[in-house]
Amino acid sequence: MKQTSYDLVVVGTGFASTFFLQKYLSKASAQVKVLVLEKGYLYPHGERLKEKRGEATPYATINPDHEDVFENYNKEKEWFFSQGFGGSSNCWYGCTPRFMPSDFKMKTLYGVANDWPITYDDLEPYYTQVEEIMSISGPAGTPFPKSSAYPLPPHLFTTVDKLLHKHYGNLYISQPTARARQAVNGRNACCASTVCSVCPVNAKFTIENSNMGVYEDARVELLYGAEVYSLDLEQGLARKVNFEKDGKEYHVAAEVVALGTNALFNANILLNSGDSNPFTGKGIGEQLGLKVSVYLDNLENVGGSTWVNANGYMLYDGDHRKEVAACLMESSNEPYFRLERGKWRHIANFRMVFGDLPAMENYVATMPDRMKPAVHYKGPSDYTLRGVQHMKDKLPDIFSCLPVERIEYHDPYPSEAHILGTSRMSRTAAEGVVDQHLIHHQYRNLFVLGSGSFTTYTPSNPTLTLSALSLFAADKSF
Amino acid sequence: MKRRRFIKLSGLGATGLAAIPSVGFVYTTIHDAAVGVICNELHYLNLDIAGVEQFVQDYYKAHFINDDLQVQLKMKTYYHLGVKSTDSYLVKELVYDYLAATDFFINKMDESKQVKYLGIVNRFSQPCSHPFSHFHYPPDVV
Repeated sequence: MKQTSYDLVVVGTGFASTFFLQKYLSKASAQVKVLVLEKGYLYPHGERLKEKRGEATPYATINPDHEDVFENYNKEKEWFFSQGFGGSSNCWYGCTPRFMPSDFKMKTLYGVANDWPITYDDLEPYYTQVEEIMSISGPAGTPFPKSSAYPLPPHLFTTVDKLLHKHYGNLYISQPTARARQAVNGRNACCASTVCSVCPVNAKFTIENSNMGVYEDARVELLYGAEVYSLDLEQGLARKVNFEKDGKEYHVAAEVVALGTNALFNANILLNSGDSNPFTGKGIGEQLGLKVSVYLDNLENVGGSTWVNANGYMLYDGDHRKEVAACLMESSNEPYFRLERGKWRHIANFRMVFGDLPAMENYVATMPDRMKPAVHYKGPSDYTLRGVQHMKDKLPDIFSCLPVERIEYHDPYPSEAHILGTSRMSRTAAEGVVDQHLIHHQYRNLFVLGSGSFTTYTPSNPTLTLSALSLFAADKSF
Repeated sequence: MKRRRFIKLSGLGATGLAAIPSVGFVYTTIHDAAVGVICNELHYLNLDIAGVEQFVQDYYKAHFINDDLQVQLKMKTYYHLGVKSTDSYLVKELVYDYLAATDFFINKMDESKQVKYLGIVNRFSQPCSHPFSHFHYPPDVV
């Protein structure tokens, strides 16, 4: 650490931090000093691939396994994330649908939970910017309004996708994705390897391959192995950031602090710091997903050029959201088949993803080990479970445009690999932790970034939106 | 008894007939049983038996079955009784993983072609090998 005081201290190097920094640096003077504290280390993509191939790499143990860094009090529920430089960009699958405008107005439109303090229109320009930076592949027509075309062309449909798109138009689209359709910006084209956590051909956008230039900027000092555990909160401001590195304690002063770890660790740091906002750490949740297998009568489902090939919005928007959770359909294009002679690929698999609402009974708490958050999660809400039943009631009719033999519903997955809602966004401190610019209601120089800020949990994947929120927050605040 | 000779004697191999439990249960290894289960299930395909044997060898290298006597017993029983994938997840998983590791789907499920083992599937080592993707089924034929 070169200074004892910085203009900005950022904690974490994942999507939320990196996009926030990118916008901040584009607006800040040439003299600003920025410190980035990353508790892990860079584990290069090539070395990650070696590990996946079963080859030896000295990097394999450089970052702790995610299961070892928090305490999970519900073993049936899993929470996935990746440690180290780039955060969960190293394990995400690259699905980047935008939210729907209605997702921001759940209270007004459906009488459910709360409205976000921002609208879709507020975020629209920033969605566009993130899509440009990530070189998103996507279709011309979408169910959400869009002021510009996607940078890359859409992925190709399978046989079943084609039929559903023909029937439902823009309610069934090629999935917008950071798995590049064409080689771009140092990345290769996705070739449907379908093991996207570590893309074997480096087609997926990550912080490591982003070329955003953030961590190479001369104004930025990046410190690895720096594990933040608390902030000094005094008189409505975050004064210092406290961390351990190589067994020693450090305290660094900052004009502005931005927490950009995930929703577990942002909450843990705030709670360790004595943040008394009643919503801090509360409401942890995510989507619920389950697989549906559609057995087809003499229709071979082939083609497609990526993993999640398409998104269906037939069960997403509508008045049903007053009573049941919205559902986003993902058309899976893994190389699955039926073990039945002559019917090998007469099948289509979908992942049905349901939104949820924050509940106070699901929360993050501190532990005697100050580095380790505890997660208490009871399970999805009745609202979400009613959404599952609603889907089962409606799906035979939705698929009536296909030659369906039978539909098989599988058990829910233990995780959608998203962590949402421990620092929810609200208009006032009486309803949440951060304001529309992701600034803490009580500590006005403290940004709490990422999907922890989500007011409600839409079925859409969170990364594009949390990245756009970071751009929005930095753009409006500096 | 060498595995190749076992297969021949038990009526499997290139002829691909159903399992014949004439060879003593206790003398059947799990490898022989697994080869027999695959050949029995896919009797209508022209399987490269050496490839099936190699698959089973590779498949069981680091498989929990090696340490689980109960599952070993199950596999042998299923082989001797001719249990099919529709009645056993263990059989289904084995046969499924075998077919996925062959060129059957790359050859577009052509039953007239001999089915050859390519290696245990690891898509990190073999990217772009999705047999149903646009590389094999371009948009103009889908």
